[in-house]
Amino acid sequence: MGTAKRRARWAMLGVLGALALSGASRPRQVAAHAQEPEPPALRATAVLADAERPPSDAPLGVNQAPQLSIPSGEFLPFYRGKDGSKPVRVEAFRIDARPVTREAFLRFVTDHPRWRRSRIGRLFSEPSYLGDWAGDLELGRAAAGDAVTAVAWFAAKAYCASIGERLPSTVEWERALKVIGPTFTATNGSSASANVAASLWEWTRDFNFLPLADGDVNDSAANLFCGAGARATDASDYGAFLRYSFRSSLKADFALKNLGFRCAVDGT
Amino acid sequence: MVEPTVDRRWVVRGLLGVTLGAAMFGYLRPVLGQRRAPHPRPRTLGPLPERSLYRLDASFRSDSGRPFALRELRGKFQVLALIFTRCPSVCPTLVHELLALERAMPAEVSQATGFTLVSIDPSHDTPEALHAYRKKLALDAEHWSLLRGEPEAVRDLSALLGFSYSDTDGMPLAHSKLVTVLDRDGVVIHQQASVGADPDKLVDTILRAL
Repeated sequence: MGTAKRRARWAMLGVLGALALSGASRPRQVAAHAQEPEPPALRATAVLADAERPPSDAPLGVNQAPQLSIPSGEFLPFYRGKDGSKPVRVEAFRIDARPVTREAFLRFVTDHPRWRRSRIGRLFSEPSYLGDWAGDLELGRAAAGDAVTAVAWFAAKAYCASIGERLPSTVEWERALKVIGPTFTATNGSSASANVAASLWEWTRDFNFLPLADGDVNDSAANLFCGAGARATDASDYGAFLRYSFRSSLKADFALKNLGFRCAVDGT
Repeated sequence: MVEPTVDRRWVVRGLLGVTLGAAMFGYLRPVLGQRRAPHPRPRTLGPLPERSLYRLDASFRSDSGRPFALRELRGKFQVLALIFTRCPSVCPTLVHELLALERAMPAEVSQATGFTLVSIDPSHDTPEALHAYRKKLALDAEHWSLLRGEPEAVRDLSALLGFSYSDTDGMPLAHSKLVTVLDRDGVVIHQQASVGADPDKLVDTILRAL
C-alpha cells in the first residue's frame, strides 16, 4: 500500500503543478483589465460633454457691423441640374457688408471658451486653427480689423449663431455678389476683382453642396471637378467656376490662411 | 527492485501528462472562454476620443420616433451611410449592397457591427417613413439604426464625413455613395466611395480592428 500512497502524493503534486501553470496565464488578463478606464472616467465624460456643448445663448450684440439687404428674387445657379438651367428662388436676407474681423472673433472666443484655439478639438478643426494668433486670447501681429481667417467651419457657424445669425448658403452668397457687385468683396483687403472673389475665400453653410443633380453620381472628386466646367450655366463665369471648385474641395475641419466668413440673417 | 521502477515510470508519465494538460488548459482558457462568450461586453465607456463623431451635439430621432443621441451607437463598429427613401436609384443599390455585405460578414464581425442609415431628406423622411423603409427592406432592429435629423444636424454630420449633397430648394436631391466605418467609439477608421467598389475592404477594416 506504500506504492498507492506514493502515487497519490505524486498525483497531488501533479495537480498542484497544473494549477500553478494554468494560473500563469492569469496575469495577462489582469493586465488587460487594468488598462480599462476606471469608472470615475465615466463621470468625467458627462461633465466634459456638458461643458463642451456648443453655446446656445442669446445674441450678444457683438459685430453689429453694417449689413447689406438683398431682396428676394430669382438666381440662376452656376450649375444646371438634369433638366437644364432652372432659376432658384432666393428669399430676402441680410448679409454682413464685410467678413467677420479678428477683433470680433476675439470677443466671441472670450465669451465662448469652447471655440478657443486650445479647446476646439481635432474633430472640428485641424491644428492650424487661428494659427496666426499669439494665443487663445491674443491676436498676434496682424491688424485687429482684418478679416479673421484660419477658422474652421463649425467655429464660423457657432460665431454666427452666437449673434442670432447664420452662415449664408452658397446660393445666397453668390446672389449677394451678383446684386452688390465688386464692392461685395472689395472690403476683403484685397485688390483682386470680384470675379475671383478676392484672395479671401469664405465659408458658406452648404460648402459641401453637390453641384450634380442627377440621381446617379460619379464618386471621385476628379470627376466632380472636371465635370464642373461642362455643367456651368454660364461657362464664361470663370470666377464662379473657381469658387465652386474651391468650396467643393473644402473639408469642415480645414483652417486655411485665406479662408474667412461672414454671417447672414433672414429678412430685410 | 523491478516493481518500484515500473511504478516510478508511471508516476513520471502521469505527472508529465497532468502538467502538459494543465499547461494547455491554462493557455487555451482565454480562447475557450471566448468561444463560450464570443463577444465580451465592450470595455467600460471612458471619455469619447477627441475625434469621435459622437461628440457632435446634434439631435436625431430613430425610426420609432424617440430622440436618439449619436453616442447611443457606441460599443459597436458602425457602417454609416447617408440616404433618402425616395432616392430613385442610388440609395436602393447602396442599401442592398450593405445588406449583401452584412450577409457576407464572418459571424464575429457581424455581431460586433451595426449599420446606421441617416436620411438627408428630413422633410420627407419622417420617423414613420423611415420605419416603413425598414419594413420594406427587412432591416432588423438589432443591427440597423435608421435616423432622422434636423436639417442642421444632417448638414453637420455630412460636413464631418466629407459627404456632399445638395438640398437647395427647387433642386433635386443628389448625393454621393460614400460609406464610412466608425470604430466602437465613433472615430472614422475607413471611408470608401461606395460599397461596391471594394466590399472586402470594409469587412477587413473591422476584422483588423476587432
